[in-house]
Amino acid sequence: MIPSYYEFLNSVKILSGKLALDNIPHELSSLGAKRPIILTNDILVEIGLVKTAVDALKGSDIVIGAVYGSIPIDSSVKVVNEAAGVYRDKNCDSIIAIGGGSVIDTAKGVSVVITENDDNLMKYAGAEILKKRRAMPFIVIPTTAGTGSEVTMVAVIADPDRNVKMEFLSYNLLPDVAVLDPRMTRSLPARASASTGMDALSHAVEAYTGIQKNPLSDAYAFAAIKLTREYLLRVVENGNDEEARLAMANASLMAGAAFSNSMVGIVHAIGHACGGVAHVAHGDAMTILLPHGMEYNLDAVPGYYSDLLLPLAGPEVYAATPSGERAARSVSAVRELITLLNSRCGLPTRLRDVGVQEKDFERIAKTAINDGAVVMNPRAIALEDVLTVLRKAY
Amino acid sequence: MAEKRYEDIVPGQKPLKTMLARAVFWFLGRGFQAAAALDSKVREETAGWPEQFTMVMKIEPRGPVMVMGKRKGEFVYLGSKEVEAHLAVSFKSIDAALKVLLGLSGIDQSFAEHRFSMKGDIIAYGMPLTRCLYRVEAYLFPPFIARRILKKMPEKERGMLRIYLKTLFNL
Ligand SMILES: [Fe+2]
Repeated sequence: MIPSYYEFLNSVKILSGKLALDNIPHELSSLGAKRPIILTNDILVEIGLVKTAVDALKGSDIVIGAVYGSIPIDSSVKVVNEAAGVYRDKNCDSIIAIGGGSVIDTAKGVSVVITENDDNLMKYAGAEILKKRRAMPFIVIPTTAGTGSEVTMVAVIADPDRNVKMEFLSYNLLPDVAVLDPRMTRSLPARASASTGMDALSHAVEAYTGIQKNPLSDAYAFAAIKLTREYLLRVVENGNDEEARLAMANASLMAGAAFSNSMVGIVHAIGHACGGVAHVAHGDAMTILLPHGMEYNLDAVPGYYSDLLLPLAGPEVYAATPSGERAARSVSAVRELITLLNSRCGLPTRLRDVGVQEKDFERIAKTAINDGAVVMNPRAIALEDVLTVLRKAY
Repeated sequence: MAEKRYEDIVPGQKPLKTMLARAVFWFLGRGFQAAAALDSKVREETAGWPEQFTMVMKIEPRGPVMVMGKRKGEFVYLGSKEVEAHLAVSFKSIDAALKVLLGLSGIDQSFAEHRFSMKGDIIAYGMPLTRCLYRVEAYLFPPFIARRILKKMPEKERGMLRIYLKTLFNL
């Protein structure tokens, strides 16, 4: 299948593997910068990950203008503005984000506020409206293998005063460089490794089955799923397995590039809503909802789900499964993986296990249908449909 | 040897397509207003927006433009002059806009193809507006067209004639 029209951009330079961090000074100077601000969160400072990154810069001319470590789990305008203030006060000329999704999204917000020289970030909410080229080099060092945010054109940032989340989609949000160094994900506990890995898997599955899919996003999604099958259990079993860590970091990045160019669907629409309403951690929501979301879409795009059996279950299973059964078999392959992860590290499998209550369903459903991911889902999603999925996943 | 001269090339305008887009914008704006008055679902969606809410749909770079908004509790068509808006949908080209406006391409499809940009709050306004547009399209386009561009045909509460009378003559 070739779409009658599509767009694709992944302009991020990727440094992947041993001593990746050590090349940051070279990258910064190639981009004309020497005084980065580090945006991160306090826990990563505490456990020494930020020090690992800073130590890797020893011997270079780089001066860290500031380490801003007050980024909470949910990115907000206030934090963006405060961090931008530090950036200006300390005369920084570039951004290094060290962290997971919220740190990276916050850093994207900071880049907009500095570029536009305007403290009202909300003015720039929307899709493809940023006209000015980003004013500073922007490097991302992910510390989880899941969000893929280091290569996405998307940021979600909350405005706590109005109690709303705003979506930003722009090619200008893509960082310059993503640094995947196994030292940075080694300390992630088994359970967090599992749930962020399931987030990556959800990105790839949804990118491959959505209406914006295209040959390039397909290639990234396929490769991401294959790596996840081969390595996710390994990182859960042994966090020090550097090869597996690096493979999952790559899987996450590729799934990110896939969904940045194809977007996500029902699993994310409902998952975001479970996060907003019932504070379910994103990876947990993905783990619980992915098989149900796949089931929901199964009859709308059976061919795409059949394709996915190959990376999800491997060539032997794919070849042994009659073509008419492959789509459904893909869903069971995902279920089998979840069962394994559940037994290894206690990943939740039902919404009731993560604090969702039946009385929340109505609010979750109302929130979910306002998520942009609904538009890209291959099957229409109405309020009642979300309620049905919620009941099944409960 | 004669010196080669390089002159500016101005690609020019598309006057007929511009006129067509202007006409269809009027029709869509009035059609939306009719649906907001006659269809309970569209009414419900627009009821959630603040008074004085304004949205603009336009074709880059200089129009045509269509403005709609909430005035005195009603969601109405507000003409073709560009204004500051809570939500602005801008098509990147006139041909891409016409494909959507004439029902040759769905809203979802054209979003997937990056045919327009959207400035403003996608969650609070963009998504409810999209759901309204599905219904408006189902009313304004003949069923064989609507079925092709919508993932699911909405259940209509009014006949096409009723909506057309309101759209064209405000009856
Ligand atoms: Fe995700």
